[in-house]
Order: sequence, then structure tokens, then C-alpha cells
Amino acid sequence: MEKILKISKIMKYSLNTIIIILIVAIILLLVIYAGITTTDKGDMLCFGTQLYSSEQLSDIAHYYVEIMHSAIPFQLLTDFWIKSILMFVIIYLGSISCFIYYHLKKLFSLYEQGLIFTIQNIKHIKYIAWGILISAFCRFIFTIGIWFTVNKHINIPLSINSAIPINYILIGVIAYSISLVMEEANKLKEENEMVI
Amino acid sequence: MGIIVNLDVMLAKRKAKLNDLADATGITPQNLSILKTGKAKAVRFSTLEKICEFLECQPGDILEYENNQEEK
Repeated sequence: MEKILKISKIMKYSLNTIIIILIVAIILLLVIYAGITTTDKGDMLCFGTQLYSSEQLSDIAHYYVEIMHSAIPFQLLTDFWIKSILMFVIIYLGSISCFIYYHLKKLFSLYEQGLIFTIQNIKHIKYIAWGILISAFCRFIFTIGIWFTVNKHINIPLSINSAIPINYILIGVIAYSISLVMEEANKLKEENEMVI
Repeated sequence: MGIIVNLDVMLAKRKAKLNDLADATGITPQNLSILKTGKAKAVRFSTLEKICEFLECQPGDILEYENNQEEK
């Protein structure tokens, strides 16, 4: 029991930090991505909202910029659909991750209080499991969507491995099974409380 | 449930209070209350032994079986 309390305390504070970092990262990504264009404006190069003179860039940076320009057509980066899909991915997957971390934090705070086999715990584990399964489904849809959009410009082979997030599905199913096991454990606990 | 707990009847016969039983046996008054109201799912032999020792009775004096199906 002491070990559970210690781990729960560490996990609770870690998850709090992760949630804050995640929210900040989502906001930053949206702000940065909203302004990304990689077109040349004369001698100036545009990254995000900043304009850089090509002379200002180091040789290595210049090398990467050239690679980027040759590999990804300009048309692709300004494509409305790909921009919208990526924005949606950032918002949707980010919010699902926040949802999962929030319930994980709640779960560990209950463990910290010494509440292990309660209905609230089961509820949080179920939310986590559904969150993981929904994020797996979204990843599948987004991978297919992005592949179709990108495929108009560049031929990229789509593998089953990258399209179907097997790991996420497995973790989600395992988490859901754990919640069902916890339900049985809760019944046993309640029965045990009624044994005099 | 077919099993009826007659703890309150035995306590009344012995003119003892629930708290006295709790003090003598070490069983909490809350648990004894659960037992008395018939909410208990099971009773340990050790608990039954302690109660019988205090009330100077047999387990059959505390527990009774009633067939509910016959009533229906």
C-alpha cells in the first residue's frame, strides 16, 4: 500500500506537469502552424510569421531549406485540405490526450487517498480505455486522410503498419479489460465489507 | 433472504445492549448493526463464537431459516 501511495504521488504531479505542457504545446503548434508558409519572397525566406534573409541562415540551415523545397512541392504546403486536416489532428488528438491524462491524474489522486477498488476508479479507467480507443480510430482516419491528400502530389506507399495503430488498440482493449476486472474486484470488496 | 438474524431478540432476552456486546466481543457497533438489520452477507465462525459466548446461547438461537417460497 505504501508503494502505491508513493507512486501515485509522483504520478499525480508528473501528470499535472504533462497536462500543462500539452496544453501549451497545442496552443504553440496552432499559432506556429497557422502562419507556416515556405515560399521564397525574393531573397527572403519565410518560416512561420518570421522572414529571414537567406544570408542570415547558416550553411546547414540553408541545406535543409533546399532539401525541403525540393522534396515538398509548394502547392502541398498551401493545400487547404492538408492544412485543415493537420490543424484538426493537432486539436483533436491533443484534446484526447489531455482527456486521457486528466482521468489518469484523477485515478492516481484516488489511489493517493487510499481508494483503490471504488466505482469512481472503474469509471476513470473506462474513460481512459475509451479515450485510447477513440484516439486509435482517429489516428487511422487521419493517416488515411493525409495519405490521400499527399498522394495527389507525391507518391508515398501506405503500409498497414503505419495506417492501423495496433499498439493503441491493444492498450485500449487491455485498459477496458482491466476496468471489467476492477468491476469484479469492487463487487468482491463490497461483499467482503458485508462479512462480519 | 431465507436466513433471519435474531440478535435483537437474544439481546432483549439477556437484557443486554448492543454496545455491551460490542465492548465484550471487540466487534464494532457498526458491524453488529449490519448483522442485526440482516444486511450482512456472511458471518465468520469466530464472530458467531464470540456472540454465543457473550449471550450464552447456541448459534441456532441467533440464526433462523425461513422458507420464503412456501409463503408465496
